[in-house]
Amino acid sequence: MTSEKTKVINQSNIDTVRMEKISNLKEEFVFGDGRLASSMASKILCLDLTDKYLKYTMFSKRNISIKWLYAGKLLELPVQDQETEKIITAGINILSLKLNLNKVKILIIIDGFDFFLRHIKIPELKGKALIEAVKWECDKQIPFAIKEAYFKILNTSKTAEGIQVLTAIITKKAVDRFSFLGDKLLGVIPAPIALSGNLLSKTNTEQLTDIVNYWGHSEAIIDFIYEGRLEFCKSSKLHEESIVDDYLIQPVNISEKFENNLKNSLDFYYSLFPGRQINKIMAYDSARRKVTDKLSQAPGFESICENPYGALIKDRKSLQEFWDISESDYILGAGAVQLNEKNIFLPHVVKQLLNLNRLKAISRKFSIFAILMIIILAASFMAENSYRRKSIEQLQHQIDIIESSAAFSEAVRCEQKVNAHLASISKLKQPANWAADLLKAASHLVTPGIYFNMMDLAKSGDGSDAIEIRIEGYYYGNTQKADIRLAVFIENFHSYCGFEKQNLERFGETIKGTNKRLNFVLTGSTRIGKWTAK
Amino acid sequence: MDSKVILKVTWLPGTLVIILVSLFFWSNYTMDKLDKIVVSQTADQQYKQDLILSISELQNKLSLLDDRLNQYNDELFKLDEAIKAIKAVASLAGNHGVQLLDFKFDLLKYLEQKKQADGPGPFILPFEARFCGNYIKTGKFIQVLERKKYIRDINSIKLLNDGSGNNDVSCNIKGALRFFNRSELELTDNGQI
Repeated sequence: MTSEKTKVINQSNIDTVRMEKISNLKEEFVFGDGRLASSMASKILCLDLTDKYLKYTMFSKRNISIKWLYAGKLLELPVQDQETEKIITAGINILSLKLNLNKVKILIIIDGFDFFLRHIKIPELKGKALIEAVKWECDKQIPFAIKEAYFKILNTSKTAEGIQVLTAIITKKAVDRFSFLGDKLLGVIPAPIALSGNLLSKTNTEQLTDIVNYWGHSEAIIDFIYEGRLEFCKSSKLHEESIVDDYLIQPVNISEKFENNLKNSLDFYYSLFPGRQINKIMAYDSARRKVTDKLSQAPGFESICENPYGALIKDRKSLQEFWDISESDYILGAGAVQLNEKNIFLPHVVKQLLNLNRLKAISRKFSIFAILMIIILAASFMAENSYRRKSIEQLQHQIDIIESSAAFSEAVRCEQKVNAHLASISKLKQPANWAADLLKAASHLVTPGIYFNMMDLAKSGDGSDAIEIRIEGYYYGNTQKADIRLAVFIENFHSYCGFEKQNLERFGETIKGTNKRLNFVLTGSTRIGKWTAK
Repeated sequence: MDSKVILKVTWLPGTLVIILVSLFFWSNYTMDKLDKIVVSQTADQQYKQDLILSISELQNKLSLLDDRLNQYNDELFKLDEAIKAIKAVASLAGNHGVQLLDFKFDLLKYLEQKKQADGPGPFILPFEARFCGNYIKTGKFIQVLERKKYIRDINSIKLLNDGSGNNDVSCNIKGALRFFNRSELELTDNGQI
């Protein structure tokens, strides 16, 4: 097999052309030199499986800036889905001979027969509750269980009763068959969504609905686009010149059928969104060639066919040249690349693989960061450690010098002697003198007529500064003054010496005329220092 | 995702984090330890420098303390001078017109202290003494005795009048003698023991 035709579309005057003959290549367009794409941009290869041939479009994408690199047709697609994997693998192998596909992500465009767009009305919910409610409602509105499908919430809008959720649903089977691409797979987009991507930049500002009508090789699509988003779509199987419908047993003439189909879709759309007005109908591919005029006549709307690549090809000449040659062959790839992530379905296995890859990338970055931190910390520790050890060595050296000096030895000897002398002196210090002072104080306080036979002063045995006192004596004098004299003595003893009486025993009272003799024993205590303070 | 897979992916950064945290705490611990050594060595150096600078001050202080110790020494008896101490007490009493009648101490304890003495002291020896004399003279004697350095302290005093009408009293004193061997202190200072 040899390439049938190769076209080069220059986007700028300095673009270089790279033309190679590649086997199995049916048709190829090169937009400038793909190798000049920014290394920061991600490369996306869209593989369109909805046509007779495997069509590819390759872009470099950075944020919202998209640069078209290549477009072309490769192999003829098989009728059986089972062979799709082989064909895609073969197509990628062919492309990899020509293009560097190392960091290229693959976006697969499939037909919309397994795809459903549903408007679900639910109460106002958030988070997990919202998802569960959407799943519950979707389950009722699709012909298979929701657990066998992937779904995405494309849009939510508030209504009087709650919220209206626009949900895209596709069978898992249709998406999972591309799992073999692994983490190279960017996602899977059904053709009706991919087609709507072309109109995002052309949305009218008058709050009118645009209808896009596209007839491919085996599928006819009608998209209703309002305020830049797909609101309703209808996908029908094509068989040569007839539309095969679910509810018509016999295929009917294509133009007649299409007219009916569009009318039915419009009726349904109006019932969903009462009051909406149609702006225009855009028709592409077979629809444009076969029924454009009739479309305008039948529903009474303006039917046009605009060049859809304006958003991606800026050069007017190149834009026209590409349109003239390819017409709307690459409209799905061009639309798909302009959509954001929420329109893309991904097999669960690939999603897990991507999560794992993301985790690996984070882990790698974190490891590098941790290693750097360890190096920095270790280096700073070594530097600080070395600085401190040097300081310690210097200090030790200075201490050694001081210690080796004669002056230090003499000073140490002196200090030791001083300490020893101080210790000895502290041991030689006498406790406070008390005995003579207390005796003296007591003798001065004795009132006339009081005589002592015995006076015993003893320090308390418990180590405190208490002094136990015992006085034995007698009173001899005026009979009436005995008690007063004794009381005055005790009171004076208390006032001047801090004497605390414990007991006063009187005995042996004898009276001779006006005089009386009275023996007494007085016991009590005081504390050292009490009398010296007075 | 399977926990085994997560573990497989995250063991390396996890281990590195553990190493990083361990290194951080270990380095802090080590630095703290070194800082403490620096602080203590700086203080040691400063102390030793100050010690050298204060040598004249120390010598003056030592001289003063020496004088004080000498004063003590002059007034104190050595441990093997117990008889001298008793004689001094008797002499002091005699000088004040008081008579020493009896002086008792625990001889065994004294001998044991003498045997075990390995420094300058002071060594304490409890005693009991009995005096008699005029009560005013006795009071003055007690006042002087109490202030003598060789008397550690007086624990009790008992004054008894015989009731005969004169001013004589019998005085029983319980206290403690103090002995000090200054020469032993000098030997210790010179490191000769």
